[in-house]
Amino acid sequence: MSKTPPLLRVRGLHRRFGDLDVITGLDLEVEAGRALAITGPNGSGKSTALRCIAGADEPTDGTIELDGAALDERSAVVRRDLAVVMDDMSFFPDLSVVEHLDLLARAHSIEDVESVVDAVLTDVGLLAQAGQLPGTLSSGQRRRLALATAFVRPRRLLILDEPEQRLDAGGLAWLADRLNAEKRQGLGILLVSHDTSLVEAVADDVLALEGR
Amino acid sequence: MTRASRREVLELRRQAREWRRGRADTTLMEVLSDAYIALFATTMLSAMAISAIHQTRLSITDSCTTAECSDARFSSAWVCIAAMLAVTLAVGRVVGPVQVSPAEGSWLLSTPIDRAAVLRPRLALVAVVGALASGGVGAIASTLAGFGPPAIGLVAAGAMASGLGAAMLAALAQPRNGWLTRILTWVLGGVTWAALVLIAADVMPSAPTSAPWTTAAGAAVTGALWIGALALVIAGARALSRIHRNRLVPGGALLANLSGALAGLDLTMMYDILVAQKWLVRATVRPVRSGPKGPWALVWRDVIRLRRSVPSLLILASAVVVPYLVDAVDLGTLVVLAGALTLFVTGVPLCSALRTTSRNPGLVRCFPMPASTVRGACLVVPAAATVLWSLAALPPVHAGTSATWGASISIAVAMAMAALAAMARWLLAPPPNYSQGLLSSPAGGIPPGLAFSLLRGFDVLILSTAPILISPTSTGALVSLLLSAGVLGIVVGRD
Repeated sequence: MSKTPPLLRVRGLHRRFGDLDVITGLDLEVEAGRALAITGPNGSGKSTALRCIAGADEPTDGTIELDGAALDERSAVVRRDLAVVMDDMSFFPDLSVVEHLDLLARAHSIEDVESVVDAVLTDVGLLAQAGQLPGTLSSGQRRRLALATAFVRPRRLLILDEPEQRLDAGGLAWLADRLNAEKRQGLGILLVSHDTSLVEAVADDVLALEGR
Repeated sequence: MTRASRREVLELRRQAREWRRGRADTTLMEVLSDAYIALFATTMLSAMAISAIHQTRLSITDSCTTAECSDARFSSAWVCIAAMLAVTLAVGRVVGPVQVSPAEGSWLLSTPIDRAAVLRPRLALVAVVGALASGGVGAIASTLAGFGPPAIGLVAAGAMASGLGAAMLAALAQPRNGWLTRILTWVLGGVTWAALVLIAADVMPSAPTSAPWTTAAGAAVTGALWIGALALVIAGARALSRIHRNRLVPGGALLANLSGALAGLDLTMMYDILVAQKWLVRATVRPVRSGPKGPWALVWRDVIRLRRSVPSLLILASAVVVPYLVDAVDLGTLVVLAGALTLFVTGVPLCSALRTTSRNPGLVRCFPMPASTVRGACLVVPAAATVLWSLAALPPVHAGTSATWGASISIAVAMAMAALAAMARWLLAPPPNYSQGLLSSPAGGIPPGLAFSLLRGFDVLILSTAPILISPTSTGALVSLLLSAGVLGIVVGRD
């Protein structure tokens, strides 16, 4: 009987910028319903690894597999299954908060768009800001909106780069609860974080990268 | 102002001067050398500009021999001045016009010093810039319109006073919400547009065969304009202390951001900054939650955007007068180039979704389709708008190219696609890359090809319209369409 491959498998990931090796031989696996947190000091290559896995950057060497198949972010299946929230997330300046989520939900052709969007808005605490344009949101609210873009769409694997950034204490507690709920629904989570409390609350496995 | 507060401001200025001198890193000789180069360059460029204007005037005088052309030429001077005043008011409202940098806003304006004393030099700068720009436009417009030297002087002086007055009016409106300047801007814009329509329709006042006024009457009107402008200067200066810090700092921050983008010759970044500022001021919208699914959701959002951007749509629709104007002055097939250029410039605001998705890979990753599909979906509404626009310009295209109606339709569509390809090229171009090898220049290290970034969009426009200019037939239109489609395929399909 063949063993089911993990949701995400990375083998020998290597990323070099010029003469500088940022990541050398990184191996990791994320199973469905489990969370892996990557920690480490600044410059240890956490975000670069995440960018390579999310398809935002090209690794110098190594393999990245989703469900046992090579991960190609151009594939429609990968775009549907991978929900990514990186640091470079910005928004349409002329669409309101609710319109961003409505647009994404419709682009992903999900059913019952309005109720899904309302539920996510309530969950992330942006219901009162539904009609506001992103430029008028506080940095914490923008972070919540970025996270909401991941929760409003279909997903099997969540990739989050320092999701705790700019969230207040209440927001951090909400985020931990939400990510644990995602795990219970069978989603895999790969996150980079500096917040030990979030890592302790959410991560089943921790990969600590060393500084260069 | 009390004696104490005046002393405080003087003290503050003296301290700022000492700081500057303490940090001076150039010698007096270097400053004099730079001043000499600046003076030489200014003199040389001014001489070149004056010579070019003079040659253009002679050339227009030679070619503009019909009564209709003379009438259009006479009227154009006043149209230019009305447009310049509208632009002065609009720019004044966007940047302040009186503004301070964010640092000055934090450090100076939060202290109890006399705010009017700090702001007075900035008001003076606004006054000088408004007066000189309008005076320059008045002088050039009246020269090209064929006025005699005394009339040119009077028109320039009158335009200068009007520009000064417009800038001061914007400053006067700054402490409040500025509805008066907003209405005035639209009225002046409407007058400009109506005058252009009249010129295009050959319905305008006849150009006088002799001077339309006596020098004394002209001087009296100009004098009255100056008295009005100076009264506005005094009123503007008195209103300075009433301007809230929140109405001073955003303009300074905007100017700093725009000058930063301009320093890198990144015009698209300037566009981004202006778009962000526009929506920041608007703050909220009435959400629309409906529409189709899949990529069509992006198309539908562009339709919603059109409903929210009525001024941009109005400007685009009004600009259709340009091909009619070009046809009215008998410039032949150049109507296609002028039409495509106008469409390129006025159509860019329709492509905000295309621009946003092109510079935000994180946002594009949220969609379930490839980046090229996202970009393609963001082009559907602008493409439809440009084709509609070009069909509205069909009569002058037909008249200018002398092609059959069938060929004229294909030429008009090709003109629209050329403009669309130019917009896509301009908006989707990667920003200057300062991380690669830089070229040494007197202004410091610059990326290779930086200067050519200014030509982006225009290069495609000329390339795509060239076949029609050479051969204004269906074949020329087909070649142009193929070129535009090729450019669109490359810039939209790029990963």
